[in-house]
Amino acid sequence: MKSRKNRGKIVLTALAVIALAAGYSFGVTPAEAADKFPAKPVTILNSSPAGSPADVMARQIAQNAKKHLSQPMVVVNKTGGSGGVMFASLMADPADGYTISTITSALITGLHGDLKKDFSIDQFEFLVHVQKEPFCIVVRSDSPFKTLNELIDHAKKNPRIKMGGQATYSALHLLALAVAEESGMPMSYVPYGGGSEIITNLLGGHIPVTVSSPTTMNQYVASGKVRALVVSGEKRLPQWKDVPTLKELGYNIVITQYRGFGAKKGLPADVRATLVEAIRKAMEEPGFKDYLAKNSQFAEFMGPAEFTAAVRADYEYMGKLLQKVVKK
Amino acid sequence: MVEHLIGGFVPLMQWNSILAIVGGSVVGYLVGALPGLSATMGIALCLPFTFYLTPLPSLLFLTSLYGAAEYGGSITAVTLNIPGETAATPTTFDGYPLTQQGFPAKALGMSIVASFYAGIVSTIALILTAVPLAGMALSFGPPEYFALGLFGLTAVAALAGKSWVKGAIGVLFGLLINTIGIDDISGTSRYIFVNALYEGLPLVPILIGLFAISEVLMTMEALTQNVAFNRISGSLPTLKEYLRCHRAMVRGTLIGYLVGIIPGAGKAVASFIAYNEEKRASRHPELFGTGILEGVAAPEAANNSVVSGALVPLLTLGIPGSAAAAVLIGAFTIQGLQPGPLLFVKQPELVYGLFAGLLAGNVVMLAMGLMGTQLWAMVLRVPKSILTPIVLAVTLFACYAESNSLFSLWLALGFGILGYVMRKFGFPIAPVVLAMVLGKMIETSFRKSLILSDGSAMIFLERPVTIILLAVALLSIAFQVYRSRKKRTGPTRVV
Repeated sequence: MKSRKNRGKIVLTALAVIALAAGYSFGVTPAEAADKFPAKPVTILNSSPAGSPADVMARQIAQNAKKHLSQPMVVVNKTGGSGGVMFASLMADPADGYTISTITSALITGLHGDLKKDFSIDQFEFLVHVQKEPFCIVVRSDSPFKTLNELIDHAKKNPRIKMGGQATYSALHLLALAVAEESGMPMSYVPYGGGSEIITNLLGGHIPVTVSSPTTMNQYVASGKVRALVVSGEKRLPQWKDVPTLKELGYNIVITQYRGFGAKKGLPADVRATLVEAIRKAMEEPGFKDYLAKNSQFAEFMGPAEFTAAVRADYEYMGKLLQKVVKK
Repeated sequence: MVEHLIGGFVPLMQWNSILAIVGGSVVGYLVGALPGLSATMGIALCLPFTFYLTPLPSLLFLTSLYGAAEYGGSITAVTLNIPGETAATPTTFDGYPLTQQGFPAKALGMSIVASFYAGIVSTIALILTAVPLAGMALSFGPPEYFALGLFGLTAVAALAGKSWVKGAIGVLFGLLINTIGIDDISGTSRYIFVNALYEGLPLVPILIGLFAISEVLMTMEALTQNVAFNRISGSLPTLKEYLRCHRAMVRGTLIGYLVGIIPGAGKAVASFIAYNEEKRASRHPELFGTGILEGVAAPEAANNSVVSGALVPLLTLGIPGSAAAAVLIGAFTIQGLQPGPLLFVKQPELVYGLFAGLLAGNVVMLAMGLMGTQLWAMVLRVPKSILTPIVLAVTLFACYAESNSLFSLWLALGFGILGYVMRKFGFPIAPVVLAMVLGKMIETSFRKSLILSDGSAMIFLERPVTIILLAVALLSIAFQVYRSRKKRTGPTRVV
């Protein structure tokens, strides 16, 4: 008897749950549009794997934006295809602000390459610029080269110097090519698989010079294993006050990488404003500042207008550089 | 160092550390047992959750997961002839024949004991030799990787089965499809017709297709006959059998640890080499592939030993020794830590806590593994007509989870049919996997070497490590030729 009664209860509860769920999905969803954004979690697509610099940045923003957005932000990694997989996924969803993505300079520069067939910079809108970082040229600390000019002099007298860095046609490759061309030193570029491989080959003495990013090199410089010769930003880095910029040395080369957020073009104005405001506030949270300090990263907020201009300028610049150094 | 290590056990007594180790082992066990979900992907999928943990439990969770997944990979390799991890591919060669003979628990028991042995010994080696051996990770430049890759390819001799020609065709096919994708050196695209191929053919769907789906097709074909295993014995290996395999475990552990230290070489390379070396060192190599326990012990010891080996460059230099260790770097960064030369100085309690956790994690893994062997032996009593569709569904699900893309499912199905055809015509499948594991490394390191030497091939003959590896590879080939000639002139064996 008792068990039958219980079963009745279970059935009733189940029916109630179904009714509620149905009510939710039929009754609430159409009203959602009228509701204030966001009515459901916001997905942040990220083209690099979990734990990569852009991924960690996105997760930190998501974590610190909790207080400032009524719904959580969820990071989803869509890796592969040099960003193509993520782009395709972003373009498949409506431009309603519920799917946004991390944007990095490498991704946008990639639109000059094979991805051009399927995607264009005009399909995106750019929301917030979060971080900016230059690149650097480094040698092992027991290297005879103390400055970039010593390296160039040597390279001119003893051709050809080998420079290591990331994939062919990546920003690092373009930087190496630009420096080689402006200084007139003959150079061969060795494209390594990633930051770790660059370090292994540099520390192991398999390559005399590498181009890399300060994030990768910070701890090796701090522990005295690696010497930075030059950075490629507008200004010197606070943690490397004695390392000059390429500009200071007389080369007209400024290449930086940025990380921020973007979306499929056509967000409603109020949705855009809500997202930008939430990310801006997240960037001011102590938790986010703590993450920046621990990783020697620097944040610089830019809103949609300013960030779009910056992305476009960088895209054009890299395009010209590609044509100049690669296509001949 | 001893007091540091004892100190390392102190935080392990806290409930959250214990929970992290047990939880990580359980998840890893399942991730490993799921063909198509690799250890690397398991760590990547769990990484976001560690965001909310403190550093030590987070690292304990992920490293326990990593180790247990390497063992878990052997479960389906033994019971279903489907490697749960790439590195468990060689385990199928002798593990599955043992199952067919009715002794899955013997193979699984051997695998867990070898994994445990390798886990403990390699962790002790890690504690004692991490700092002095860090230099070894750095001694590998492009020419060394090229030589290592060639040496690895000679393992095909142990995998090729009856026909040399068919094994060689498998290798060449694997090398050929490896060229699909963006060429890392020149940046040009090769044979890319869809976006998903930019980064080349992903290994996991191909592994699933070649092994799991082709196995399913083979089973379906045989379903009209009585295909349930008749006598499944639950007996574990005897002490004598364990002792007989001791040398295999030692060799496997050593190979796994050394290959683990070399960044980017990978665990699959380690277990292939370990299987090959075991076969060569054996006094009865002809028995390999028929279901002998040494053939399970060596690769399983090797792929678990890689876990500790890969931590050597990770902890001392900040360079990951394997793909899974590369994801572990992400776990450190999320916690605001940087693995590398400063970690031992700044956070010794964390490093030694991790060492202690690795030892404890292996004990948990052993307990779980031994409990599980009976369970898995029981799974095999399920009629294949029921088991096979479940395997297919679960495998495809895991394959989708790995990539989030439908394309990889089509790829798995396509390679499933290819694998079926290959088996029908007597082509061994493992050489394709071996070539795919090694192909990229061989090609790019060869070309990088030539850039470094301005095109001179002398770079391969100037460096001691390269010379030794190339010489060993050459000897390995010569030995095989010698042995096969001897066999041909000797009395014909009835197989």
